[in-house]
Amino acid sequence: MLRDWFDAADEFNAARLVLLSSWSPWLIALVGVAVAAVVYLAWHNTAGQIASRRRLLVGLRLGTVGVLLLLFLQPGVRLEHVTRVRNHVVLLLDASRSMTLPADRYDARVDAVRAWLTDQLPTLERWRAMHQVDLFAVTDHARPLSAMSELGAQGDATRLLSGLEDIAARFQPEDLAAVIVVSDGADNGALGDAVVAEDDVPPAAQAVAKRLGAPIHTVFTGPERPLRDVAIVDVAYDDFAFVRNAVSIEAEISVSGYDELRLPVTLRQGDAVLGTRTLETAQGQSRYHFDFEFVPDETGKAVFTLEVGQGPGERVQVNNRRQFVVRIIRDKIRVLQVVGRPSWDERFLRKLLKKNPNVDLISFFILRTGASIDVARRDELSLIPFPTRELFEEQLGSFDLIIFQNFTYRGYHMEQYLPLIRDYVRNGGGFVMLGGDLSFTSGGYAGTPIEDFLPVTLPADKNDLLLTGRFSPVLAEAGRRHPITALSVVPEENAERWEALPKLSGVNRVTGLRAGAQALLEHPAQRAGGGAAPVVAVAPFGRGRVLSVTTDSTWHWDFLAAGAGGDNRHYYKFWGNAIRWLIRDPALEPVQVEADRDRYPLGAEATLVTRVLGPDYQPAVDAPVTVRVDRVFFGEGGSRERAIAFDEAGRTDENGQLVVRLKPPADGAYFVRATATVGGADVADDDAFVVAPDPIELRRTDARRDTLRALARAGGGESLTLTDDLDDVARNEPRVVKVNRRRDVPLWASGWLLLVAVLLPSTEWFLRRRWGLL
Amino acid sequence: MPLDRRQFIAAAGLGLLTARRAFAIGEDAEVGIGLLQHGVGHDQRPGAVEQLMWEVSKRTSIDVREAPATVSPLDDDLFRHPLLVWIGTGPCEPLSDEAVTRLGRFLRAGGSLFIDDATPPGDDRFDACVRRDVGRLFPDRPLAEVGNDHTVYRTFFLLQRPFGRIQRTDHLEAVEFDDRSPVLYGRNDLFGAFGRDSLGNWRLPVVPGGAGQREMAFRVGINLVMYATCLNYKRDQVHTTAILRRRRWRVEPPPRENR
Repeated sequence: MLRDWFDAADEFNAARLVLLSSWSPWLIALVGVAVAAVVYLAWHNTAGQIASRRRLLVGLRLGTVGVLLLLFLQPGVRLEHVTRVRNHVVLLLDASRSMTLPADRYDARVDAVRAWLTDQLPTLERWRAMHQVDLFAVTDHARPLSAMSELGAQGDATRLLSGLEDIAARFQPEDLAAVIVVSDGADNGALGDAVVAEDDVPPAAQAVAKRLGAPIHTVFTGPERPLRDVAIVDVAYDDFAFVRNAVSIEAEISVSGYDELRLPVTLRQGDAVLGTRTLETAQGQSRYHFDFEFVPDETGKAVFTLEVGQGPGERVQVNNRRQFVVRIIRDKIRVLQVVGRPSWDERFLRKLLKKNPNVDLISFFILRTGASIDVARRDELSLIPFPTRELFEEQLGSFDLIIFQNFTYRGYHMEQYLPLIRDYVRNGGGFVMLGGDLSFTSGGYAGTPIEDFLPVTLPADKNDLLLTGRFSPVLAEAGRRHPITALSVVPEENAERWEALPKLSGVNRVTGLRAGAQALLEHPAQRAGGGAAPVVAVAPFGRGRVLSVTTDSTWHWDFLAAGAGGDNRHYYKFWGNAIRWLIRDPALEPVQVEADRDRYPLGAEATLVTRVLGPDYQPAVDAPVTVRVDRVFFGEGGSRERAIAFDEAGRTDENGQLVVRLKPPADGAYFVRATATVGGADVADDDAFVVAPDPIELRRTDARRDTLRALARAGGGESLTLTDDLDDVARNEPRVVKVNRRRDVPLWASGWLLLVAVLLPSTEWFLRRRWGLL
Repeated sequence: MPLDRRQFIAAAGLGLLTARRAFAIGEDAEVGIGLLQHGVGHDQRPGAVEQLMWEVSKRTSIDVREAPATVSPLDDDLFRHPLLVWIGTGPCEPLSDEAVTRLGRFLRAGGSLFIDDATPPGDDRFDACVRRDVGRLFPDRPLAEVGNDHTVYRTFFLLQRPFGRIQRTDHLEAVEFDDRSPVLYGRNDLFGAFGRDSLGNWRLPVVPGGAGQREMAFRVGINLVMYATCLNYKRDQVHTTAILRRRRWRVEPPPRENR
């Protein structure tokens, strides 16, 4: 404008108003005060005049001092011919996956953006004289685009503030003209979280705007109306859960675009349905909360799928399901110790169990039998009833390990619980029977469901059930390499340690080993079933494991060993090993396979490590291993399908490990099985992981104009839509780097101004005289 | 109530007829008492241990060895008797360094020692011996009075205080170690209340007297044996039901709808 008036010859390319006087600011301020005083006096000494006269006199005084001020300050127009450096207009284009969702007139929001940018090309072309236009794509960060054609929509997140931070880090504020954010506003970072009301201006947005130092304009892609969509927006679960402990999983599901809807919400572990709820829409409600609770009964990784049904005409199905991995671990080993009578064996085993910080011990001792003489009133005794039903029916499943220590079920109406105990072991529980006059056949277990799973077979006759005399048990063949009897990893040292232990005393007579059972320690003299009588024997039963110890004198390895000048570490080692083996401690499994992560993003490489232990529980070198990975995914129509994703054979290295790497081809749940041959038998271990895009991006499919408005407010820019043009949006001027020539045009050096400066006070003087004010 | 003479003879006769009610796997499986041979007193309460263990066998499920074993701290068999009783009727020489070492190891490894001051009222010479020797066994853990909430008062019978042949003190003293009391010390001549002669008569009168006092003494003795074998079982058992019910290992049926 100024140039148009004062630079008719178009010799300059910049014009601005300046003060041509060289007065100091202090003097200018002093003059300003004097001017105010003069005007005030004029107002004050016309107090008795009618209003119109008063306004006129004060106006003349104002005009006089105003003209004098102009003469004092000497304003002018400075015309310059300058050289500038173009500053940058940054177009920050949303490239997240939500931009693949429909816009108002387009199948995908990113297509709408491309069309709008094509329309804006003339404007952008015009800007190039002053600005350099830079294209950036933003997802979780900003990255430059060399051409508009590179714009995609594959990002797994929308974090507009992070993108703006990247721009602020890349450009100095003086080099930025403006930032124009083109997005659907579905921010799942700090901005989306912070904007909850229409007039919000999040402090984080203000901070990044300040760093940028240039206006932030936003362009909303739409659509204004929400899509028809049912989406799992959040699943709250812990990465770790404890076996035999109730686990809670909470789901938040959003519904948009539907008035009446009724859909199933299902939680699965693998193929098993853990729970189903019903989602039923309610007027004015868009978020629905669901709780699931279940009790995992096995340790290891478990893949869960949460799924909500599909609404009619729903465009986006990928957010209707969520897969995740929970690592089921053991918190404490829950041990039930049931003792038929107090004894030294019970006393030392209880001490051991109580000292183990990983054991949560529940003990029940039979302190008095029906044969005991009752000479005290009930309230004088500290006895409580033996809660058989609570222990062996209601709470049975909560235990990892049950120890029957010289305990007979007879006399406690327990017959009906014996099959339950057998089922408990078959389903994965651990069980120990320790010897004594109330154990094995002496305890009446011959022919009961308990005998079905004991490692030893029991005599049906009642003759010589208890064999007395001290003895040193002998390591059986299986005991030389079994983890329970591994007091040392060196075989010779292990044998020496067993020989050095104090003698045991007495055994229950058994008739041999059950099929599949192994004797670990044998009696040196007693025979059973054509071989040495087993003193310590183990056997699997279903998914459970069982240990039998046919003596009640293992406490000798504790207390007598201490008395002999040694210590009780072998007793603790033996029982520690036994407990770990009975509860299937993964560290004692001969084959272990583990993926390096529970969840991989699409395209990432997974590393699977298989460790193999030999029969001696040492790393097995050059052992053949096969690793097979199955992918379970959702096919067309939501059906669950399974396919082999990877199958490879290899051999372990010198550390007993085989490492394989694979790139999962697509999303889904992946189940790993590593198989190795250990001791002539195939042994396998399983693991699982999930490959999925970050679910955060498509949790919400609705576009959000409120976030973009908040951003524009914070950045002092405009909030536009794809129907607006960029023509007039504010931009910072480019920086001047050189002034080639300059001319000042004084605005005050005018004869008219001098005339006004004389006329105004003269008129005031005349009027004052006439109205009697002088 | 402890059995009177007639009941005792009848019960003994019945016992002879029915023999043992249980058959342990050898003598090592039986719970017995070792009488500590130190100073004077271990042989001053004849029949007391037998009578106590007989009561234990009749009233509880414990499989007992009635006859005591007399052991010195240096005996090879010391550790076969995790419950020792040291009865004192007079002063004694200090334990040798070797005996202190062995007895200290016995107690720290899991053994229990009940010390019974059987001296007459006013005679503190044995008490001085006890404090001297226990001080050497546990230099940093002095004997301290135990409250009536100690597990030993509730292992089988519910008791409020210790009893014995005499009533010198109303409390026990103990050394605490490893969440238990390996040393318990009473001054009421507990084992003096137990012994019978061959005719079934009590060897010593209880003072101030009465059948109730002797019965309460037996209850203390039985609780001692229970404590040696079960330790703090009763203390933990108080919480067992709460622990069982606290564990959330089952899920209630879900509501039909969850919105």
